[in-house]
Amino acid sequence: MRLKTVYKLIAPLILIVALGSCGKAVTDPYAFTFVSKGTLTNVGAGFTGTGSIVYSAALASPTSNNSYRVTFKLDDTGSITLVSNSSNTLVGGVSVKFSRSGGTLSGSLTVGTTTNAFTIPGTVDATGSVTIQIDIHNSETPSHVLAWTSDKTTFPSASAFLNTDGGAVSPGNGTGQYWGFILASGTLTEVALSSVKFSD
Amino acid sequence: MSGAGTGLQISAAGDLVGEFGKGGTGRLDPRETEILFFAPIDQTFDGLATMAAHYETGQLFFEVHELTIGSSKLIPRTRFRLGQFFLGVGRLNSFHRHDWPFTSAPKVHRDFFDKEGVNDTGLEVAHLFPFSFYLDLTLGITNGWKFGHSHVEGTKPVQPTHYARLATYTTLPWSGGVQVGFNYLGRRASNNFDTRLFGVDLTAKWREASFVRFLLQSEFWYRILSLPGGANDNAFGMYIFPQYGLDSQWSVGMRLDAFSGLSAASASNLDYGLVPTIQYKASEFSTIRASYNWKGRLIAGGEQNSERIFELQAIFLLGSHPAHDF
Repeated sequence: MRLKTVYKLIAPLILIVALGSCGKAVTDPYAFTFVSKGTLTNVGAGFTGTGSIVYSAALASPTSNNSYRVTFKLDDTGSITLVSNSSNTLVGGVSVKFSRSGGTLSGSLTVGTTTNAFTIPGTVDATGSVTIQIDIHNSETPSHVLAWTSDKTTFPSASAFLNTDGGAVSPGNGTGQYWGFILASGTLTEVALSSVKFSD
Repeated sequence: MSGAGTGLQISAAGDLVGEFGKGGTGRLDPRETEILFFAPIDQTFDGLATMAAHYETGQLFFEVHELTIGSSKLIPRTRFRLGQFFLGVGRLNSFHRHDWPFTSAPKVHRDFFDKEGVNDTGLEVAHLFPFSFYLDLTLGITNGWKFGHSHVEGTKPVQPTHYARLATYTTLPWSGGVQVGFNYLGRRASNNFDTRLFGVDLTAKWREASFVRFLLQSEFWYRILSLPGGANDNAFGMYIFPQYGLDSQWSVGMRLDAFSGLSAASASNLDYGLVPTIQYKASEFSTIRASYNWKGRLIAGGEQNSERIFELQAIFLLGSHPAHDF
């Protein structure tokens, strides 16, 4: 086949590519409602105080897999819980909780009435601002949860301080399509939702 | 290559894929390499062993892909295989990824099956009915401890994976033919997530001389996924891929993907994909393919998760590779 013919065929494909580079407006994926307002107040893109919120934009599906980059700062005895794949009242989801006691940060996973603890590296400063990248793969049975500290720029499972495939036991699966936070005496500074960082 | 006097056939396949653009990996990688051994075991049984290495997070993981013992000689018009294999349901799931007519999986296949396909261990039996027209029924049951690609053992399901495919074939005018398959798959996982898949696969080909002048491949799937507590994750998805052969070496195609969750929160969303493709096959043993994967999710008021990925793929086969029936 002659090159001229090939060029004639490629031209429409190039046109499609050019048209494809035009994007539509993206709606706010972080619009939220209060599940329990408590003492929560907005601080920039985050919240401070005690209460809970659910994000209005649903996840792709109840069995979807997602990644969350969460930045927070806790008061002594404070805690923050990421709830994923839950109802719009944060029920029935996979909960990843970080609790501070003095200079120590501890973690736990909860689904329903089952809670399993996990260890957080000592390099994480419990008294300061903490950033954690959390993958929740709810399409797996049970949900596969991984977490990395903020210094990681690539996310193989081997570098995760939490990996329920071979480490802490996953307590099960969420059954809903929403996500949000339960905050107790702390500040959620920033959150970013994305596709999973670790992929088989 | 073959073992002298034994009928042993050995072949290898290489699959290189580069993804560039928004949502792509930004690099060229060996996505998969596969080594395949097949031969008659004795006068009754045949054996197949496939080892594949997949590129995952910077490393190539070698693992058993398929390992089966089977026969078509024990029961008339009936063939079976026992072992680990890609489930004989649907069209894409029945083919190794390097045999697909496009580079990456449509969303319906990724979500309902896996990036490559569902591979499990069990028994599959297929019977060709003695009718004047082609009618073939495949039934299978597998462990179901896991569903999709996984490096863990999984957990014992409440109900193992079981499936059926009823396929028929008929010729079409102008040297064409079409195969239609009606599919069902069911499983209840250990967490009581109950999955039922219903699908139709349709593949039509028109040949001219020694090559396929026109290919039309499509699948339509509906999933009922019941979750504990009464929630569900029902969804519908499809893809359609028409491809035109310019000559025996060049072909162009355009895949259209559509997918929508049917829960209250997802019903107004539509995941789409438009994938124009151009392909060069110097022979049946090599393929160079370029495509543009334009995909995203349309939601009320805008779009989410848009990706614009230029895909470059090179596939080669070494040795004698088994041919597919159609």
